Amino acid sequence: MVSELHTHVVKIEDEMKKSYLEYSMSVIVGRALPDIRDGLKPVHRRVLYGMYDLKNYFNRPFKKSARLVGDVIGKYHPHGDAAVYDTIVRMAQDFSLRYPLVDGQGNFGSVDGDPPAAMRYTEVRMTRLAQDFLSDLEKETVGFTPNYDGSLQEPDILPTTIPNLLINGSSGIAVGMATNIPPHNLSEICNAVVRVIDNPDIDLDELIGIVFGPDFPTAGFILGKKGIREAYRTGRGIIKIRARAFVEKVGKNRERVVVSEIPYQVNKSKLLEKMAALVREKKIEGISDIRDESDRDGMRIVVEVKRDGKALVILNRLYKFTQMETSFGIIMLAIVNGRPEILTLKGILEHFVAHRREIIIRRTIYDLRRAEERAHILEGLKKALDFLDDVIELIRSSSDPKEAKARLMSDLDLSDIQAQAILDMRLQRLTGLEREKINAEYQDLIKNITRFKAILESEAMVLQLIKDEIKDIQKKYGDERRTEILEDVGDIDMEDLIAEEDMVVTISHDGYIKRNPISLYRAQRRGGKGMTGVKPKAEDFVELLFVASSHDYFLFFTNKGRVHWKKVHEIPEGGRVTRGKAIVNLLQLQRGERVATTLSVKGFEEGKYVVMASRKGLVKKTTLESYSHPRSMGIIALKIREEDELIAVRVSSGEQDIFLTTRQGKSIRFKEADLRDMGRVAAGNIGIRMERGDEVVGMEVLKEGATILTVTENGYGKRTRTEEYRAQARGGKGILTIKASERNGPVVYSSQVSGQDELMIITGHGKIIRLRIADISVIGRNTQGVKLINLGEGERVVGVARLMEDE
Amino acid sequence: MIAALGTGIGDKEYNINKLRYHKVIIMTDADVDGAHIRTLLLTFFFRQMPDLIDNGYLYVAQPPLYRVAAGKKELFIKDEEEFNDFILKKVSEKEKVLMENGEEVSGAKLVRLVNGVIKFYESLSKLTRRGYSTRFIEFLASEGPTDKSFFKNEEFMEKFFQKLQENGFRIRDVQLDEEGGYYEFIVTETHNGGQTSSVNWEFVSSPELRQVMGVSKEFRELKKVKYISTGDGEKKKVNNPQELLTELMEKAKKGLMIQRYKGLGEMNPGQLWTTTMDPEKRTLLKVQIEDPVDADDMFTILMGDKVEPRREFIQNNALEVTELDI
Repeated sequence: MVSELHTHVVKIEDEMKKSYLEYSMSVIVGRALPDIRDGLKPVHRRVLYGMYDLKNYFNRPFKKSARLVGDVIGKYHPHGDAAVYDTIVRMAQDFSLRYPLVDGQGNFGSVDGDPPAAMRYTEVRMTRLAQDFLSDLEKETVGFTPNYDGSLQEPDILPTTIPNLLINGSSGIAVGMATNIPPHNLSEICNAVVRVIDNPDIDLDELIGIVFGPDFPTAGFILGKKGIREAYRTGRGIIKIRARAFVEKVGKNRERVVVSEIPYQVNKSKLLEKMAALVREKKIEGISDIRDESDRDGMRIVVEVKRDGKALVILNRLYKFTQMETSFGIIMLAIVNGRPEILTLKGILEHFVAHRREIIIRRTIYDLRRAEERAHILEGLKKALDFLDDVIELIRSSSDPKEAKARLMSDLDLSDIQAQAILDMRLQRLTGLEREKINAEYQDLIKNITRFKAILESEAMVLQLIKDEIKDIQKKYGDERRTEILEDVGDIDMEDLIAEEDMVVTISHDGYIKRNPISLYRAQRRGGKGMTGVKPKAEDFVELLFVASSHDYFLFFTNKGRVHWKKVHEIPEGGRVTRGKAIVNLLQLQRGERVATTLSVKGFEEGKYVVMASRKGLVKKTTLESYSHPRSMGIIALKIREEDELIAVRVSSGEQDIFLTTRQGKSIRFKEADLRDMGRVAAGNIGIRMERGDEVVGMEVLKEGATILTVTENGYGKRTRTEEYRAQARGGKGILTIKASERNGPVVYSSQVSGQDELMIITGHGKIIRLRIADISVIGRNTQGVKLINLGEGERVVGVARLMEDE
Repeated sequence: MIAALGTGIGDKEYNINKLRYHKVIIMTDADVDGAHIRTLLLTFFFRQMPDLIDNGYLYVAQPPLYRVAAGKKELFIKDEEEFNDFILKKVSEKEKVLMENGEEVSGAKLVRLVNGVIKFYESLSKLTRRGYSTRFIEFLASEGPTDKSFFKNEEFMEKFFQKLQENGFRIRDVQLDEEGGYYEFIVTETHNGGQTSSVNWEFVSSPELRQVMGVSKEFRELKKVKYISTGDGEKKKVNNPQELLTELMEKAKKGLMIQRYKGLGEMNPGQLWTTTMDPEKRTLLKVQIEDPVDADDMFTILMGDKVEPRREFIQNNALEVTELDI
């Protein structure tokens, strides 16, 4: 029969709340987070106390790890043995703790992640530093609480002469919160503690001048001071840690990358695996070999670079794609007065000072008491020595110790303790030397007692003691900073991953774009210039050719007045055979949008301008600088109306002349200065006032000694020297550049040319005729022009392009 | 577990009618990790088999926390509170103390005094964590105001200041709090390295001080106790209430074998049966959902993906947890 007598009801919400809070509070306060005073989690404290209990001191022989583990588990830490051993192991690793607390004998693991030997093999003892942690423990300086089964006592906290939370750091995941405090340099922290005592109002800037930042046992670099500052100011911040690597020359023309330090908590063998994987997946090119040449003298990873590879580029890629560069998210969370709190650097230092103050006061109270107790006894002895004969007589005449004591107490006015001490005294104490010793000891005690009392009365003396003791620690254990802190390098740009190299970029008439390294291009173009004359088929040809560096910009101005950017290295590489990529696919163009003009720009220097012209005769000038912020969707370069189109864009110096040609053969030349520079989104001013139905077909920024080439629809054209076009006021009706007669037809093309270029004339029947510009005569402005090519019945010129030769 | 229950799992397969057991009992260790596992199991049942709970089939077992034995007799105690009550009962049965005037105190009166002092030390530890000195709080309990209102009384406070100064304390920065009319001041100690305690409105209205003042009567009484009777006609001297407390508890525990269970594995199978599993003797908690919406909220906060609501919940509720099992 199931008894219902003992069944109570519980609400599930209440049970969840109670159980979960019980668990989380225990993990937060008593497992995963360190106490701010000694920087230790309970398990670490118990390990250190366990070693103290076993008298496993730094200057005594090693003891088997299993012994320590068993003791700690049995006495203080009723959890898994593996966890305790792992903790001990970590405290012994010099790549895990900046200032190790355990001295380990045997295999304690390595940076490559190989496991330590089992606890039955290894041996441990405290390091000298750890021993200082525990000094004054026996002087009632800390509170003790019963252990888990009430049979023993364990310390709540350790005296800790060292600001352990900062120098060794801590990391732990609790419930609903986590901590991640990096290690620091002991000398710097000691200096900071002294300063905080001397100047309680010290500000962050001053502190950062003393504590430059974290200091990892694995050295390396920290990039950027912003993250450090943020963490010290608010308790949270992100810093980047970088491996130490340099480029070595091998022989005449090969290089290699050598890594000597890796970031904190990075597993070296996993790092190498990752590098190899990247090479296999072709995410990094140019690596011919990866070797781990580390040995007992130090770390050395070697990455051999192929002959044509670039070591620096490879190094940057390694930083970006492997753990050669990692980020460390700082969270300075610790337990303060039994509660989890996020702290600033100053806060942690202040709490440490308060802790030391408490310890020193309690120690002094203990020392004083002991000194007074001892002095009391010595006073009794001294009295006895002064009346030695009486004392001896008294003792001899007493029947038992009890009576002797009582008589001593009454006759010499001594306390119980004093009387007992006299009775316990060895006869040799009566000798002259011994009597002297008693006196000397007594004098000493009196001096100490005075000093102890003075300390307890004076806050200033206590603070001085804290300073003195920490300076001692600094002298004993201070060492050089290992991690170097660098100025902010900023994010790794894709740019840094690409070698800077001169490229030839070609855009074909049909709108295909590709680039080639200059060296390659030259090799391709050697042999065969191509023929002049008529070609039977309309083949695509190179219309624009630029020489630019891979880090230069290309600005693509579209007919809709927008501009897109591409860095030269973003343009696809293409060999002889490839056509290249269609520009409409490379950029994100809208419907009906096409590229009107392409400019190659090295940088967006001040003092340069971009001049634009639209079909309806509007012109606009904007500073080149205003195009210096690339955006992937492109931006507006010119506010243009529905019916209008951007037809030409040129770069100018601001002092040149602008030249426009219209379809009906008109032209205008005016000073650039007449055009005010405006914002990108502005619409532009009137460049030329045209007759109804006329439109602008070309715009140039004039150079000295150039000629203006004009080609009409019916295949006629000419060249005229720019001098023949006089400068006028902007916005006028302009002057004739060619007679747009019946014979000629309207102007289809006009541009500034120099003698060496060649022309491709494309007809409506698909013919492409190639002409040398030098063959086109230079004649007067107001002329008819000459026949350039023969056209068939109804055939018209539909397009003209300059063919780019090699430079 | 799912196979044993027989119901299947998931939208398609789950069928409560195929449940093979009408008592599903969660039994985990009595420590914090056991508590955690219990929350995980409760979450599983709440999310995947809610009608198991609705139909009253889910229970939580109550394994004991302590086993107390005196010779052959053994007693199982299920939590810390019950244990303390048990010890105090022993105190009232056996122990006697002597005041300095020779008066004897024992039984229920003694227990009342001891309870008061326990509460005093609880509040004291909370206050010392906040930086107040032990000596000052003890002085406050024995000579200071017994009620908040005394902090407003000029005559009383003047006398109190004098007493403080006579006993090695220094007063400074005395002022009156504007709103409540309470005296605010800072106390420093001459023999304690200059430790300061500040008395302000926050301190005066704190629950810890209220508790201290509430038991000040018991504290003062117990301060007058000088000896504990050791049973054989002898008496042992005690110097302060703390020592008295420790001694009494120790004496009460004498002769008792106390075992505090850290896990179910620590019990012998027979003990586990008689204390936790035997239907005739065991205590069970039946799990019920009173408000489904509240319950759902609780599970989402505690076991859900988002960290911030959980952290906030812990922050706001952490004050109520008394059992900190490390």
